[in-house]
Amino acid sequence: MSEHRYPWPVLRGDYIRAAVGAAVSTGGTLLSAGNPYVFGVFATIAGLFLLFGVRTAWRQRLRYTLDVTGLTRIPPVGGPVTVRWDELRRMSMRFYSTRRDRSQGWMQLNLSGGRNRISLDSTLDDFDAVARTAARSAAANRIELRSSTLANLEAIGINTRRLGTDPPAGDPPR
Amino acid sequence: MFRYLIHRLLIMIPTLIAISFIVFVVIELPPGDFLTTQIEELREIGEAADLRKIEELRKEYGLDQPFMVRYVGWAIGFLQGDLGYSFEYEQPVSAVVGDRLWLTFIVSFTTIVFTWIVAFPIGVYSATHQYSWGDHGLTFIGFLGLATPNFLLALVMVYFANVWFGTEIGGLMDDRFLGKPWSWAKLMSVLEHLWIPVVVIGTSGTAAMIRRLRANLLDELQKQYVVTGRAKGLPPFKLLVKYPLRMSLNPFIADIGDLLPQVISGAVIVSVVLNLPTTGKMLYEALLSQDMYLAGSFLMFLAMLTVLGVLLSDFALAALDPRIRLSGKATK
Repeated sequence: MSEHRYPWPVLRGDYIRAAVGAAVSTGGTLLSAGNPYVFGVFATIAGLFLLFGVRTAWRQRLRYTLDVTGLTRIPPVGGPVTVRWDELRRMSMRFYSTRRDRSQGWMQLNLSGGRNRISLDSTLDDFDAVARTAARSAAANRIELRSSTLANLEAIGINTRRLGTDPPAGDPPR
Repeated sequence: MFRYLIHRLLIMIPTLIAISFIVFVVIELPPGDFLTTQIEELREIGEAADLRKIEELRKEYGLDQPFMVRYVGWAIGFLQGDLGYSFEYEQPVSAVVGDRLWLTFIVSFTTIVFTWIVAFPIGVYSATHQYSWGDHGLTFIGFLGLATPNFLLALVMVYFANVWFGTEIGGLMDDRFLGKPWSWAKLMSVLEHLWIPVVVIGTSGTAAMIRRLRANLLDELQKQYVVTGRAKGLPPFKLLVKYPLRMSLNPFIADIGDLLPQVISGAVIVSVVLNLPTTGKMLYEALLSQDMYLAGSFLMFLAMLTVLGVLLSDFALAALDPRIRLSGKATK
């Protein structure tokens, strides 16, 4: 069994983003108090940044455990959530780019099985191990993966042909 | 997706601050200001300008303040919905813009919808029936639309709309509705006039879009996965819609960033020819007369819409094509 957390450098970056965004948008909210429309826009944005800060704090205390039976998310509050590998029914991996040319960004792995659903980012410690195990289980459960998921798995070095999933035919659709 | 939203929003903030500064610098760049332009105009027609009054006006409009003070004042005013004062119209900018913004939005949005509705089926047909008579015919019409200057088409359309349908020449509504509150009759009048600018402005865009969609779709249709799908017996329509058509839409979704500002700026030359009460013509005149707050507000609106458009297109692209580029890498 292995335990995975979001590393501090990533969390620190997210805290800074939340703080800077909340400060600027709160400033905008205060300045635009006279205009309800502009005020509404800034207040919403400020709210989003605050929510992001709370979410980052939540993530700081979040743990994932990976073992042969499944992946478990252990939140700071509430009970653990497990997606068992033998119950895995859906898997997708999306890429979110921070650049227009898609040269940089991060992956988001979504797993669902039974009644549970887990989403995690590639910023997680040893994300590749989680993705590899999930891909292997998807292949074992004969889950049809989207071509984008297959391409993204290949991009992080997981050979989908060797896992037994159907490789995209020819030039893969994006 | 939430983290992605936050990343994108965070990029928007410094972008908009930088744009607002650049906009203000640009509208300040021409030598002099609105009042010096007015003095010159008075001199040209042989009238003497009252220098004391000019000085008073300069003080009243804050034109004697240092650059940064004026910029900060303008930016904060913008945040509070105060777009400044139009020297040319001697009214607040928001009052000057008034209905024009909505009318421009209606014209441009309808044009975009018209362009997509016409171009989409034609582009798909041309690509799936490459080198057929239909493809050649539609391509010819497309090139004709692309090559015809908008203002020329506008003049022809206005003439025939008047001769055949009795539509009043120019404008976006009958004269009796100008400056009147919105009513059913006014809306009908707008709709009656609307089709002319929509067809005129939309024609060249439609032709260009047909060509791009045809080229993109042809590229996709020749890829191996389509051949494999066909060989496996996938129904032709499903095979077309599920992947190739979706993929060929990427450039159009990426273009949303450019489309949104067009919704506001409108087509300036067509607006002049058709005497449309849209914002394109007003922006042009504001830039000419150095009506800085009016021009600055327009430019800032355009910039904000561009940034918003890029944000929306990035979201749509992330949803449509969540795949990493092979040369790229995921960051930790």
